[in-house]
Order: sequence, then structure tokens, then C-alpha cells
Amino acid sequence: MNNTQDNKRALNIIWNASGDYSIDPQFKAYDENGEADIYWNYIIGAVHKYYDYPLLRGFFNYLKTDSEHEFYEKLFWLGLEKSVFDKGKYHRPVLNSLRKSHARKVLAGEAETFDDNLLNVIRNAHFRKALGEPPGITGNLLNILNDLEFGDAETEEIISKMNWIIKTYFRFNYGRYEVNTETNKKKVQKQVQQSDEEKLSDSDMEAMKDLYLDSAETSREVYYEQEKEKSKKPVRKVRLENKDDSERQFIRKYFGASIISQQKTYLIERGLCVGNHKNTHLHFTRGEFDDEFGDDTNALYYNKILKEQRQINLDNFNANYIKYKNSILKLTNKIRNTMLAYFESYTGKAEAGRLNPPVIWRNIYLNDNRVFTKVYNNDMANLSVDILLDASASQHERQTTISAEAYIIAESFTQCQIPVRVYSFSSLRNFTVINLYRDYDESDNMQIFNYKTTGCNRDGLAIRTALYMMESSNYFNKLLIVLSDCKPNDTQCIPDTGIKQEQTKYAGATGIIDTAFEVKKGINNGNSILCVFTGEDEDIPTAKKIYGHNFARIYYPERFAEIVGVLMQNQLKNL
Amino acid sequence: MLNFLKKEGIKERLINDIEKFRTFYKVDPKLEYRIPRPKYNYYGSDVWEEAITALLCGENLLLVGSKATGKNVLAENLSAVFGRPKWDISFHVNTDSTSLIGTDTFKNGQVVFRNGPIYECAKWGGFGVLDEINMAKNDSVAVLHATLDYRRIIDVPGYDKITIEDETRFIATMNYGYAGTRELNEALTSRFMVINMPNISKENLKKLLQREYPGLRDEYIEQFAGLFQDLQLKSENSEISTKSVDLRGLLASINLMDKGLSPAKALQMGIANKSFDDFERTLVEDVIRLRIADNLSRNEIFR
Repeated sequence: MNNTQDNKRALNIIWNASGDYSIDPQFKAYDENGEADIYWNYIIGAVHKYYDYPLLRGFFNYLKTDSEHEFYEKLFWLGLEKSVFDKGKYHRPVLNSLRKSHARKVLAGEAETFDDNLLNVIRNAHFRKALGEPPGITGNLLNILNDLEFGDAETEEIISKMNWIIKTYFRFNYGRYEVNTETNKKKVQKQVQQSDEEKLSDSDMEAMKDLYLDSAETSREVYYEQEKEKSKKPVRKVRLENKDDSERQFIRKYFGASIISQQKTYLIERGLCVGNHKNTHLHFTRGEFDDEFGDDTNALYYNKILKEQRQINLDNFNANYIKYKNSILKLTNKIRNTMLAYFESYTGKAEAGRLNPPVIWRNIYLNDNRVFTKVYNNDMANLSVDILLDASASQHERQTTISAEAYIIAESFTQCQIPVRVYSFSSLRNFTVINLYRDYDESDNMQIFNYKTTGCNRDGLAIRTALYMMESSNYFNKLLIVLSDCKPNDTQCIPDTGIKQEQTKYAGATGIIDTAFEVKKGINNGNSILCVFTGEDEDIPTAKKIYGHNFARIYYPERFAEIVGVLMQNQLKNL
Repeated sequence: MLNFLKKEGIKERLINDIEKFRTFYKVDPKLEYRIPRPKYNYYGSDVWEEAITALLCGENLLLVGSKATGKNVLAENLSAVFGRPKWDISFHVNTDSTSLIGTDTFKNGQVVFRNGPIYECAKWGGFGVLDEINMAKNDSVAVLHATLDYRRIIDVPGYDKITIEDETRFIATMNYGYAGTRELNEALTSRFMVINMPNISKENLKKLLQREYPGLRDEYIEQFAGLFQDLQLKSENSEISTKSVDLRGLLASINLMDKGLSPAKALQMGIANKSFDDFERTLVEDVIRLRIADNLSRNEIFR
């Protein structure tokens, strides 16, 4: 069993004992093998049940003002153990045997030993008493042990008793130290993050091109300090190639190597980068570092921040593991159930198949040969799902959420054995970059956490490209799920129509109409397109314009699975 | 059965009405074997009163509830209380009009109509239990619409139209959210009075255990009921699936304990092993371990 599972197991025991599944316990107990300890986790849960825990939490926090707080905490827990055991033993007779076996384990030296020997002595005496043996200690130690018997006392009383113990027998707060450092640190970090999370307004968009380079370059100086040896070379290469090629090289540096040949990219561009998207380009990548730029500091830097974002995404996922796991479970069940209910086989009369005895007479008297039933399979495996993530800078503050949501959807479909492909799109300069995280025949959904936002979004071109990619798949039913804030915005204008450029830039109504058009085109060609709306409330009307009724707005992250589930259900039913 | 209702505190007036119903509608002696003699009683006076009142008023019932809420037990109890023959019709994806109403068949050189269970039930004034009604496709149960609403008829194309006997009632059960179940369409739902079956309460579960296993010591009746509740709570909080929240499994486990199997092993078979996910099973085992000691013997549980 891994750490996350043990953590969840410990939580479950605590919840079970307390009867309250909403608590987030301050303590969890693991045995010497790192596995959830059933007896101690029960005690922790039961403390929540029998006492006013907020008061106790306050007291535990107070204990933390002493550098020896672990000692006092453990001592306090010994006292709490006895009192909640006494309270619970009539409700759960099994506690007698659990406690005894735990006591025997402690006395046999099989349990974890504490660093503090005094604590070990008191604990052993405590559990000897539990087994009905003489405690084997005298003097003050015995007094402490006896004072730890809280009996029927209420929470406040227990706290004052414990307070008395630590003040009388020990020198509490002798080594007082700053406890708030940790929270302070967190605050600072949060501030730093928030200042990073600048929202991009329309007017900022013009300056986007430079802004993105600049931000990379300004912060690069800090990076230089750490790795001075690497930064000997001048950064910019002399432009030997034509503009297009040098731009493409920049994009490769920024986003990673292309996964298809340049020739093929041109070919695709010729088909897709037309109309409103004339003069734009495409770049298909997996975000893998291009070895060609092995000593290019820019490229190395971009790669580094990509990895950092992955870690942030993963940390968020792990921190909310239980919540997300539940969502996956719910969504999987919902999809599976829809599949079962609507994609089932149906039977009909046939000239061959399984004989249907009640109608045999029809063959003899009416010469009807269709006296067999045949099962017609409605092949549910014939469905592929593409998940397209909007990776533009406007999604910056939601990176962790979006990567987790994409992971939940992808994982749920994967568990239903439905092929999934996940990719993101963003535009920089005049390139729309498609970053592929996982293809149909792969299974590693964790790659989705490589999701990182940058640049603008040319939704129309992205959807057009996604539909093009889906066309080449061999599945009969194709579902495209777009996670987007429905805010098309690209510095690259639509082709010059003689009007002032600003009025025709790819944003606002122009962008929305273009995107909506691409979506309609996709639906008309027999694809299903859904949107999980990730943006702000003010953009909901836009989402409606683009996706009609096929979008879901997630107000409460806890309800993510239900809402997306219903959306998928409706869509799958209509396939 | 009526004595049981009195003991459960059902209103005298309802019991009198049931008695009148039973004396007014006679049962053909050759169908008496179809009147059930329930093994388990349903506990829960609110639900009893709702169900009895609806049936007395001539309504059909739809019992909706998750696993172990006693849908079928109540349906069986109701036909026993009203003293009507019972037809059990299990719905599945391939249920169609022929399997409900009837089909052509060939008998003694002639094509004849072989009655389906709905037809039979309607003809003899029985109680038809439509089990897991939402497992069937909505269009295939549309044939029941005329049967279930005010028309109370069955019209078999090419044969005859029969009118349903007055005392006929249909009791459907469904579990919403099981794998393979679907939404019941509005047209069908509107033809039923719906009872949302509550999870069995601890008190009622204790009563059930007491009645089933009179030898069980009180403190263990408490523990088994508590165990079931712990599992139910865990499942309601989506920590485990409903697989292990299995009342049948719990009763069967106690049976095995009675026969001498160690309680831990019996519960492992009856409850924990119902889940096929290793981790989920560990969570269920933890719940069991906090109720029933590993080394408990039969004599400690039974008097």
C-alpha cells in the first residue's frame, strides 16, 4: 500500500470512529511499518466524537509554542486514549481486545519507540496498567500517570488538567520559539504567486508578444546567477533563415520539438491556416526539449519553468487526491452506466441465430423463416474522445484546476476502455501550438500535468485543427471536449480587409463568431463537441453562443463529476 | 401478518380496511399457493402506512431505494397482508411486450395465446411485483401504460381486450443508480405513487436481527447493527461503493457464525469480499475490526 492509500485509510478509520466525514484531522497515526494504525486512528476519531475538538485543537496549537511540543502532545494523547477508551468500550466491546493487543505490542517493543526515553517509560507504564499489571514506576512518574486519568471530565476540564500537568511537572515554554514562521512563509509565497497571476485584459494583448519574451528574460537574470557557467554565449542567434523559419525555431525553443516533419506541418497548414487564419502557422509538439538547443539558455529556461509548473500541478493533485479520486470514481460510473444503458445490444428477428421456440409454428404454417433471434451489437468501443485544453495566459490562475479536471475526465474514459487523446492549444507570435499530452493508444494520463499556460488563444484555429486530427482517427463516434474560458483572443489579426487592423484583430465578436462557426461545422460533420467552461461568469453568454447547450459551468468543484457526468450522459445518449 | 401490523403500531382504521378488502375480494383456491408467507417482515411504520393507504385507494406503487432498503420484502409483505396471490416479474434489458403480456404459441395443432404474467395477474386480481422496472427499455414497457392508468385494460393486438380485476395492484421496485439502470420515463412514473424507501434504521435492524436470530446476545445485536450503519455511512460519503453495504450478506454471515464459522471469517465472506477492489476491501475490513474482534468465538456471540 502506498502513502496516499495509507493516508486515506487512516482518514477512513478516523471518520468511522467519529461518525463525521467532514473532519480534517490534525493527527493521523501510522504503525512502525508506516501503515495506518487501526487502534490509534480510532482513538483520534473518537476524540472528535466525545470532545469538543476545536477547543482541543486550540490547546494543541498552544502546546506548539514549546519546542518540546511533541513530548507534551504524546503525553496528552496517552491521557486521551484512556478516557475515550472508557467512553467507547461499551459501544464497541471489541476495543477491549484491540487495546490489549496494542498494549502487548508496545510492551514487547514492537511499536515505534520515542526519542524521549521518559515518554517511553510513561507509555510502557500506561499500557502495563491497561493490561491490569502494576505500572512499575514510582514517585513523580506515577503521579503523572495518575493525573493523566481524566475520567469523565469535559473538554475544558481535561485541558485545564493537562495544563496543570505540564506546568507542575515540566518546564513548559522554557524553550519558547517562533511557531508562526511557517505560516508567515506561506503567506509570502501566496503573495508572490498572486502577483504573478496578472490577468490579461484586451488592451494588454497588443503588447503580448514582447511581454512574454520580456518576462522570460527579466526573470532569466535571476536564473543566470545560479548557473553562470552555462550563460557564456550570447542568447540570440543570427537570423540566417527567413523570418518564418526563425519564428518557428523560436517556437520550438519555447514549446519543444515538433512531432511531425516540417514538410507535413506545411501541408497541414496549407489546409487549415486559410480564411480567417491566413498567415498563421501551426506547431505540433509534445513539449519535449529539443536537443538541438542543448546549450541555449532560453530554451533551458523555458524547459525549467515547464517542469516547475508540472510539479505545482502534481502537488495540487496530490493535496486533493481524495477529492479528485472520488470524482474519477463517480464520473467513471456515470460514463459506464450510460454506456451500459444506451449502447447495449438489441435483438431482432432473423433467419439465423438463436432459435426462438414460441414462434417456430410460424415457420411450419406461415413459411416464415425468421424464427431466430439475433443479437445486434451496438459497438460502444467505437468511440474516441479528444480533450482540448485552452492553454492561453488567461487561464494562468487556474492551471492546477484545469490540469486536474482534464486528468479526471481522461482517467474516467480510460477506465471505461475508451481511447482518449489530450492536447492543449495556445498561440504565440503567429503560431498556434498544439501540445499533445497523450494519444489514443497510450495510457499515461499523468502527462496531462505538463499543462502550462502561455500566450494567446486562437480558438477557431485550434478547434479546426482538433477536428482535422479527429478526422484521421478510425473511430465511428468522435467526441471533442474543450476546456476553455471561451475568450478567443490573439494578437495576430485576421487577414487584412482594408479596415483598420485593430478592428479586425482576433478577439471579441470576431473571435467568438469564428469559433462558433468552427464548432457548428464540426457538429454538422457528425462530431460531438462539448465545453467544460472554466472562465468567469461574465463570459457565460459567450460560451452559450459558441457551444449552445453543450457546455457545463463548474460552480462547485466538488460537483465537477456530477455536472460533467450529466453533460457527457446527454451527449453519449445522442450518439 | 395483521397482528404484526398491530404490533408495529399501524393505525387501527387501516387494519380494519385491509380486513374488509380481504373479505370482499376472494381468492380462487387454486391460486392460494401464490399468496406469500414472508420469511422477513418489513419494519418501518411510516412506510407501511403510506403503502397500505395507497393500495387501499387503488393506486399502484413504485418503491425506490438503494440496496438493502427492503423493497422486495415490503412488496412481498404487502401481498401477504392483503392476502392476494403474487406474480413476480423481473425486468431486464430484453424485457418486451411478449414477455409481459404474452405471446403466440402452438398447442394441439393450433396457434394460441400464451398468457404472460401481467395478463395472468390482471385476470386473477393478483399483486404484480415489477422488480427492477428501470432495467428494461422504456419503449418496451410502454405496453403497460394502459394497464397501469385509469383505463385498467390490457389490449392484446389480434386477440382480445381484457379489463383488469378491481383488486389487482402493481408494485414496482427500482434502484436508482445501479449499473445498467436508467431513468424511468415520466409517462411511466406518473402512473405510480412513489415511496422513497429509507435506509433501515438501527432500531429496525436490531428488531430484524432479534427476530431472525433469537439466540444472538444483545450486545452483539448492537454491534452488528452498528457495523451495518458504519458501512452505510461510509458508503454515503463515497468512501466505499455500495457493494459491501449488504444486509443479505450480513444476515448470511450471522447464519454462518451460528453454524460455527469464526465471526471474522464469516464477515469476510459475507461483507468484505463483496468488494473486489483491494483498497476498498481494506477499508471495509477496518470497519469490521472496529466492531468484531478477530478471535471472537461463537459462544461469545450466541447465548
